[in-house]
Amino acid sequence: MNANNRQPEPQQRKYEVQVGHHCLVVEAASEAEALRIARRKLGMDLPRLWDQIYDMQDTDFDIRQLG
Amino acid sequence: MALHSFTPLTEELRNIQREIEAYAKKYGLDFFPTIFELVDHDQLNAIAAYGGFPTRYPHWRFGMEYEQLSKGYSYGLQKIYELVINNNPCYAYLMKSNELTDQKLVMAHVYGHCDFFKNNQWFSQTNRKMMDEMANHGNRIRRYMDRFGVEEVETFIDACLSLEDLIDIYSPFIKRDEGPANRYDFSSAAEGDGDDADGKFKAKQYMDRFINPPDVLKAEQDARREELQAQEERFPAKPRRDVVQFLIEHAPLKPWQADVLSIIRDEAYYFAPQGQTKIMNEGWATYWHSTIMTRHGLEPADVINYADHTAGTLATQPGRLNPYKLGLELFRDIEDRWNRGKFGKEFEECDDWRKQEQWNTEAGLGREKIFEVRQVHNDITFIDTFLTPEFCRRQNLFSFAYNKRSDYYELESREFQQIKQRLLFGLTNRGRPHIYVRDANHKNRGELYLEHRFEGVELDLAYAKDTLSNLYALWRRPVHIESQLEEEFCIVSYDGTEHQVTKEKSTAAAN
Repeated sequence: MNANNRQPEPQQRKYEVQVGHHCLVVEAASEAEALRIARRKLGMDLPRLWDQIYDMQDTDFDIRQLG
Repeated sequence: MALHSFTPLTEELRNIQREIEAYAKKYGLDFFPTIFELVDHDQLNAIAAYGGFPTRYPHWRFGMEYEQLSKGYSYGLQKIYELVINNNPCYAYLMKSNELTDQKLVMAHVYGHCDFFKNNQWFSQTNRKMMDEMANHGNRIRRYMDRFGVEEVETFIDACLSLEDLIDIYSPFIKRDEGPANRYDFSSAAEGDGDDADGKFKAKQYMDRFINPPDVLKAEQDARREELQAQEERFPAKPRRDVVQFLIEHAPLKPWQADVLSIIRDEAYYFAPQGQTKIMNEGWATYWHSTIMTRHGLEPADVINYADHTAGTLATQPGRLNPYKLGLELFRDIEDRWNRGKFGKEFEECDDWRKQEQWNTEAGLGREKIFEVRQVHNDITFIDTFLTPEFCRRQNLFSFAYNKRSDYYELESREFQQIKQRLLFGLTNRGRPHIYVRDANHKNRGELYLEHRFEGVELDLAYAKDTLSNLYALWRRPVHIESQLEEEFCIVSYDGTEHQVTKEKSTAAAN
């Protein structure tokens, strides 16, 4: 494949994702990806709440782009 | 002591029950209708002493247990928060003096137990009308006491109770015997009558003499016939594990005695699955009370009380196994592993420890998996299947043993295999010895010969002697049990007057 044909890497941005008292900062290319990463990270950090974290609506999370 | 005057739930408690039940149902718990009764500490101790059944038969042992519980409570050594009975409907007793937080916790815990009773396969054969059955047992035994005297019946119950562990806990699930043979089926007899086709290999006529040498065939047939004959002569034909059932069928008991023994046996079978699933059952109930309380049930004012009481329940003293803690942590570990996809070939074959630690396929199967586990496993298979080296390390599990040199119990190992083996060993047959009836006509004198299948732990000789005395009371002929003591084959006997221990070198055991 020619280097000129390569798609440009999507730009990574910092997002702050908040749900309840939990707030974390993730790097992602879009809000949707930030939310996916945040769910995954929360699921790992709070294994007892896995089902709740994955059952929550997207709208339950507050996502804010930083900088 | 009035056991029958339970107070109905207050309006406040009824509302809490409705609330907790709704949460339990929302999470997919499936239980029989549950009836809560409010009792004071004295009533609860009395019910607990009766094994949860206030209508049970009368016996001094229950009084003794009541005294123990009662003293433990008044000295502040122990307190029963709740009691729940495997029955349809489920009965649960709440202590009146519990604070509201505790009542919520207990209700959530009870729904966990009720779900387990209803859905775990090891409980599937238990009598779901045991509350009525126990009352029925109580009536029958009271009638016998009226007729034959309290002393006589109680003494007989004492003897039966020392034998109640000698049952076959797997028999509700396994058909051990083919049942009575069909008296019109003569096929096996015909086989034994020198049918020359029997035991022959297929061969061309000219090769038959070489492939099926007549003298070998004859020797085989003779051996088979002798084996059959020996089996017919032996009684029972195969060693029987349900010693109590054997006694009901063959001991020279009066009808009322056989009935009492069958009552003791029925109750032993009813309680057996509770012994087989203690870790799972308590773990499951604690998992659900923890989930329901921390997510829904707790008000800010309840938190300290809840945390204090839960910590008390889950505290593990060094050197002791806390079934609540072990069960809960294992269920949580399984849920986490299945949520993160930490199972299967790919995960098992991964040899990068860091990668395994961070493994996360977002499978999200945890909840589904723990529901499946609570349905099919008992404590042995639960630990055998789900205890992992990582879990042991995280929970600081270790095994300990008696050191003869230092005359002290010491930490023996933190090796995973050894810990697992110790745990499983303690749970096999609920920690009881495996004992079989081997010969009911020992020495052709109608003596009863039992066999203890030695698996590394010796019988406690004092217990064995007492049990033999009680067995003699039922069999009324000398009784023997073969076992191993101090690495020697031995037979402990009781002939109605004295006990005798005969030891032989262990090589004799094989003969």
